[in-house]
Amino acid sequence: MQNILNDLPGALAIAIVDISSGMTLASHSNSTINPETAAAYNTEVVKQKQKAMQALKLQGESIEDILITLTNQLHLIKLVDDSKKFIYLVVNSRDTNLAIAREVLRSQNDLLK
Amino acid sequence: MGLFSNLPFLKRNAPEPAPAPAAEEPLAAPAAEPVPAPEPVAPVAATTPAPELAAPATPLAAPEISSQSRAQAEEIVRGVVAELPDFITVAVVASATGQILAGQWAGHSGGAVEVATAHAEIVHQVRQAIEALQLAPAEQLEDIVINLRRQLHLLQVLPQQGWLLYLAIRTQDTNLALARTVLRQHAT
Repeated sequence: MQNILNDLPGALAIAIVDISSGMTLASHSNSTINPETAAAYNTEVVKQKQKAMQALKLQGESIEDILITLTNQLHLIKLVDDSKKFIYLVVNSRDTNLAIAREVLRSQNDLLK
Repeated sequence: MGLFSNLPFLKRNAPEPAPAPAAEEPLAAPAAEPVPAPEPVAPVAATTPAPELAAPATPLAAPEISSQSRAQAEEIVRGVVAELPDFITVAVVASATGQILAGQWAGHSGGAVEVATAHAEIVHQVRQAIEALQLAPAEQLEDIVINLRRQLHLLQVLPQQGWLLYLAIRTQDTNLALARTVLRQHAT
């Protein structure tokens, strides 16, 4: 996780979350955002989408990431470890562009395997 | 105890698929799904963002959608379809209830109701998170992008009407920037 913080020094919050429990395995915040609180809600978001996909009976599909755009912030949820975990990252959209943030998460993904 | 204090958001809704728009294209109308009797939900004011934290004092009937609203929703769907003709699904959904107001499905529309409900619930969870993280009112939800392996699912908030504009499309048939541009045009 330190690698992500090094590459994205403007990150407002970051966490690694276990989907089955909704609990953080590691987290860091540079802001008022509480990563544990965010982790719980974001876990529900992931589970809801997985439920929706079951209703569609999509074959060979899985969620890679979820990007939530707020007025000034980007909240990214990147699923890793065979959809058992996700990396949660919050950046200010003025400081960090989406492509960079996603690329940083993608390149760090291997460390979690 | 508010209606929204429990996760069984899903139990409260029995949204019916909107009738398929007068088709220039041979698309199937959404299958009439057997749904349980509608449970009462709070009425949604069409001009304000969904009052998602309010609890009704007494049970109320499911909100009726005016034909004017349906027409507007259908217009939005047509606009998206015109610009992204290789879509899988385009739908306008009421964010408070998950009701489908208008939509087009390339191929079968099985699961459309469940998907609409799930997406409305996702938006609800994100908005609750924004409150819990004390990001409101400076931060408002604008859109959600879900990347699957070969598909892109976008949920664009339409704040004026309290609706969500949903697009499912294969990644080979568009790119994220273009799809977002198309959807955002309707979020004025």
